[in-house]
Amino acid sequence: MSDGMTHEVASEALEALALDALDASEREGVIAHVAGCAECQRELAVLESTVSEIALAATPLPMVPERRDRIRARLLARAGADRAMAERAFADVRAESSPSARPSGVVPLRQSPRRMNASAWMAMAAGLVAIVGMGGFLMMSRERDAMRASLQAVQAERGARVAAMDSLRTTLEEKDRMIANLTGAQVAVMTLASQSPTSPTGRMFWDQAHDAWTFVAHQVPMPKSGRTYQLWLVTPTAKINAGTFMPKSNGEVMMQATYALAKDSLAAVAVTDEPMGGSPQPTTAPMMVASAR
Amino acid sequence: MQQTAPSDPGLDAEASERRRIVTSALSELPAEQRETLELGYYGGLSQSEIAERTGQPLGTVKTRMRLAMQKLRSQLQILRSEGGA
Repeated sequence: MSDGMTHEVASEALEALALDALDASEREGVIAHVAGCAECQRELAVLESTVSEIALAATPLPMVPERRDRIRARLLARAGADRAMAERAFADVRAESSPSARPSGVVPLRQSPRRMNASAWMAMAAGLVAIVGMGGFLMMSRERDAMRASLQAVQAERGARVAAMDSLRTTLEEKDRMIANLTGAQVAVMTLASQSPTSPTGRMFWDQAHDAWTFVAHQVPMPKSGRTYQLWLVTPTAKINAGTFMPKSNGEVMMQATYALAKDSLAAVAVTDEPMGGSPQPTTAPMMVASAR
Repeated sequence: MQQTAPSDPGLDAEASERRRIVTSALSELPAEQRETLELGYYGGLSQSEIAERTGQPLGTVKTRMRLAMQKLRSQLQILRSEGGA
């Protein structure tokens, strides 16, 4: 132990230490030396026994406030110093006991039993309480962090499930609406014919009760680059843009639109090949067409 | 009502004898050593405080306190041997 105080200096201060008359700074160094010196421990034990005998000769005197305050201040200062020393000693023990701090194969020397006074024992007890408390705190902190992580995981999983349910609910509502648009009592069905060699086929379902239009087509070829398909509702006076669409890679098409139109005003439904983004009016001949009459 | 243990005449005599030995040992100390010891033990002063109170150098206070304790230790050796027996 490197206490910075030689045995000679420390041994000359043992009497004052036994009387508890050392100044705080010197007392700490002496105690540090005694802790690792068996000879000083034996000497201190005898001196403390001698001091305890002095009490026999003491004549009981009333405690004057000045003396009481002075002794109390010294006890508090000493308790603080003991606590700081115990904490440092504990830090040293922890560092020395750390596997990384001790070369492999080196067995640490066992310290000789040290004699400790009551305040040192109390300081050590307080240190142990602090250690146990710190251990408990760390354990509680780890449990709290684990619980918090679990809670976050559960919340994330719950959020994902809610999102999935919302998505399914939306899909189900769309399917229900589509079924209603295709099978309602006031649904008119028109079959679109084509002159194309690939023979695409299509049907327009017009739900007149809800002004909903559902266009379904099969075997529709992919338009050329920069081109798209555009759906038209043809009346005697106008060709109404019903939107553009692109077929899937398998040629399937399904698109929906909402547009209010008088029951007897629809003349035909047509699909034309238009520039990307659509045109105000058809610019090519219809590739698919169905007459409404 | 507070009760006290019945006194043992033998123990009382032993305690009285020990007190007499300690008082005698203290009275045999030189006055300056006894004063230093009493200021430290009964007064609760540190060596620096004793030096300041008495106006003596700190080294002198340390020496006086050490000598006083060594004499007491020697004088009271009989008590430790009896107590340990």
